[in-house]
Parts: sequence; structure tokens; C-alpha cells
Amino acid sequence: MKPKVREILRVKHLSKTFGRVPACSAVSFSLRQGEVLGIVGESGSGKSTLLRCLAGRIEPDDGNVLIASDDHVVDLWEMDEASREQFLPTTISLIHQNPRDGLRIDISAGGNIAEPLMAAGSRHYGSLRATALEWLEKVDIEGRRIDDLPEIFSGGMQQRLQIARGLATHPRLVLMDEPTGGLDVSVQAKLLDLLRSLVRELGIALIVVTHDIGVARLLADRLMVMQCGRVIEQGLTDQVLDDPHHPYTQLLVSSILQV
Amino acid sequence: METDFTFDDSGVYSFAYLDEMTKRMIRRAILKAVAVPGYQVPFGSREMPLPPGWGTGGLQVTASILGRDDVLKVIDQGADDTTNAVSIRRFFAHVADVATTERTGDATVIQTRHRIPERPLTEDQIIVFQVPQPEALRRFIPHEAVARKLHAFGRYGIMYVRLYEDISRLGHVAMSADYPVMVNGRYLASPSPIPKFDNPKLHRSRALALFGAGRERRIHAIPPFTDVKSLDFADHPFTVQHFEACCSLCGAQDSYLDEILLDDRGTRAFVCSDTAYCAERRDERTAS
Repeated sequence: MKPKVREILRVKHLSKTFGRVPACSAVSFSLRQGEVLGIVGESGSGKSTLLRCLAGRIEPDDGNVLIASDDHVVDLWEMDEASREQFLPTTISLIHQNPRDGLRIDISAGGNIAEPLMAAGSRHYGSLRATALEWLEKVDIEGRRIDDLPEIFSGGMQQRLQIARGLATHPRLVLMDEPTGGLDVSVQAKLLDLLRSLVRELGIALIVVTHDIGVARLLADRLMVMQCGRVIEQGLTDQVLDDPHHPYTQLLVSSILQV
Repeated sequence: METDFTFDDSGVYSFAYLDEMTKRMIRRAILKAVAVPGYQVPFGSREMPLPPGWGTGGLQVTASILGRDDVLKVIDQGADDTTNAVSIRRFFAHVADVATTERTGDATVIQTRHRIPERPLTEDQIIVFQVPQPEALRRFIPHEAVARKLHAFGRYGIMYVRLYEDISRLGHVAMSADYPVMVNGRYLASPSPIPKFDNPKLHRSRALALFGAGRERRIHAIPPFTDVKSLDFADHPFTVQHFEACCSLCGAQDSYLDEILLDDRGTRAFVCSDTAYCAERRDERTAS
């Protein structure tokens, strides 16, 4: 008998408007352990707003974000602020498009990886140091650069460092906002390889927001297409991309340059 | 009463300079600070006849707690005879007509900048600190609202980043003064710029410690017998400065020493920073 795969996240009718502009309307989906969900859509389709609602950064107007904790389910936006602040850092991690938003640029690479661990209560220098080295190795950064400032790293290295920082606390759910945006193609390919192997190895649930269909096809098990704050199509990645039903998805798929 | 004032102003000032309502307001802030150890209580700081940065916070706290029977000692960098210490002592001798002393054991209220006296304080004493920056998080979090949230949620991971960075770069923590402490296991507090040598004296101190920041308008307190822990890592425990030399005047080996240059050829001597402690030790020696 196959072991039952746990559902880790369930979003119900999530809505958020900015003034009169609806950014997300009644978005619902669920995510299981080890699953990678891609969210694609054009600029302004509500992808990033949705991600921020899940990451605890923006409070949605309506709907629920249910997250499986150790033995029970918690509603992210029903909790009081103090418990949410306690809960979030060890459960969810958000990887920004621009590594400078997610890193502390003025502290060393090792310090960047150690910070979330120290925030979670680790008070042993030796083990922090060992964890930092271990993660640098995982993301292909040489161990001797542990005391260098990320400021002098290349864009691709900064993004890899941000991923190491985000994953070092072993979050259950990782949210990535355009993780390959702004990187050149060969660096993108390396980063995608890295993400794929990390996701498989650690069995984390991952949501990747992207406007790059190629990234979605490589990484995602399932795909959700958004337009004007609505989910217009969702399903298995191959299914959505090879046999798009909604006219917008058809447009999106046909607009990929065939090289 | 000091007599070097040329005009007669008896009866012009209320007792200890501040008016009664102001003292009441500050006492309320102090009571709240004592009730919530380490928590910074905002108060309405007044203009004082002293520039901000010279101890207006300490001055206001002292003015609010002084009684007619109190004996006041004022120290600056451990010394009773520096300009700031002398002026503040004179000020209170004039406006409150209280007795003053240089002997730590005789004082009931000690206002201090940058040191805690070497002689252990007793439960009958109150020590008042002049604090330039009461917010220990300020070095990392410039935003006041964010800093207060971190205090409310007790999230002090960011302070350990500083320790981590220092140890990885220099092998030790490079903060030698104003070394942040956890008060009563709850609030992170700045002990004012005392050397970290003095941090252990705050732990379960018998005396009440009050911290006044005039420009930043905050008062915080460490009540007697409160746990005060300096931040450290399990494998890099907190340590204080260690001196190879001893005091060249009194021979003390357990006190915090100042280095004094004696000539242009680099000859130097170490003397106790706590002048009263040093003088008392020398007196005892001549008496015996």
C-alpha cells in the first residue's frame, strides 16, 4: 500500500482588492508534500499578491489559508500576530525575485544562512557554522567564501545564497517569486537544475510564480494559470501546456518563441 | 548648600528642580519600568539646564527619586571629580539641598555614566544610569515601530547575527561596552555604555538600577535580584575584559583599569577607573 501523501496547504476563496482593483478573486487550490505548483500569468494577474498572502505579508480581504502544522491545521490569518510571527519563519519561506530583497547585503554569506536559524533559537556557533557550510556546498558556493559579503557575489550566486538561506530552516512550504528572473540563460539553467534536485531531495512543497513557461514546464508538477486575479485553468503541467483549454492559456502557450 | 551662586534664588526652584507634576509623571514611568523589567517606558522628557547627551535622562530620574534624607554620589567614567560629575553633584546640592558624598558605601542614590562602582551595591541603594541610546536593537533596526514589534514578539535573532559576524571575522565578540543583555529572560536591554566588565554586576544586583534616556525619552529598569544575562553562544560564552596589570596607586587586581600616558615616550600606568574605590583602598592601607 502506498503511503498517504499529506496535504500541506489549502487555500479557500482567497480574495484581495487594492482600492477598487481586485488583485485576487476567490482563488482556491491545495498543495501536497513534495509537490511543485507553478503559477503563471501576465504582469498584474495577481500572482505576487497571492504569494504574499500565503507568506503572511499581506492580509487577504476574504478567504482562508490553511496550513498543516505538526498534528493539526492552522489558519494563517485567523492567528494573532504574535503566533503568526512565531509560526511563519519555521514553516514558510519566501524567495524573492531580487536576491537583495531576501538577503542582508551587509552581513557575510554564512551570517545570512545562520540568521533564520538563530531567529528560530539556535545558540551554538559551531553548529551554525557547520550548517552554513553544508548549505553553501548544497547550492554550489565554495566553502571558503563563507565570510564574504554577498555584495561582491554575482547575481546567480546571490540567488543561490538566498535559496540556501530560505531552505536552511527546513520550511514545510517554499514560495518563490520569479526565482530565475534577471539571470542569464546558462545561469538560469543551472539554478533550475539545483532547484529540481533540492525539491526532490528534501521533499518540500514548492510554489513557483513565474511568467516563463519554460521554467514552469521544467519545475512544476501542476500548473495554475491566472488572469486578472482569477484562476482560469489548472491541472498537470503537461496537460495544461500541451492541451490548453482556455483561450488565454492558448495565447500564452502559443506566444513562446520556438527556437 | 553650595555658595558659589552670586544671586539669591532660594525659593525659586521646587525641590530637586523639576515641578511636582513632572516628578509624578516620571515616577509613574519608573514604577512601570520596575514592574516590567527591561521594558522601555516612554516619558515626557523635560528641558534641563544641561545639554542633551550630558545626562539629562539620568538627571530627571535622580530628581524624581531624591528625598531630603538621601545622600547623592555622582560618577562619570568611574570618577567623582570629572567636570560632569562635579556639576551634577553641585546642581542637586543646590536645588535639592541634599547631602553628597564620594564614598560608594555612604550613598543612597548613585547617578552614573559609563561605570558601576566596584564596591558591591546594597539593597538600600539605587543606581541611576545616564543612557544615550536605550534601544539595543537600534544598531540593526533603524525603524522604531519595527524594533518595538520585535520586542513585543521577543524575536531577538538579529542580535545574534552581530555576535556571529564578530566571531567569524575576529574570533571573539567585539563589543566591549554597551553589551546587550536579556533582562528577566524576556526583554533585550541596553545597559548603557558601561564596559562589559560591569555587566555581571547587574545580574541579581541587590540595588535597584534605573536607566534614563533624556533625548530618546525612555526609562527602563532592572529591579533588585533580577536575572540579567549577557548575550552569548553556548560554545562562545560571555567573558569580561581581563587586565594583565594591577592599579599602580592601590594595587587592586579586581577593578576596571584606565590606561594613563605619563610622558611622550609612551610610558604608561594603569589606575582604577573607580576613583572612590581606589582612594578607599589607599586610606585603608595607610591606616593599617
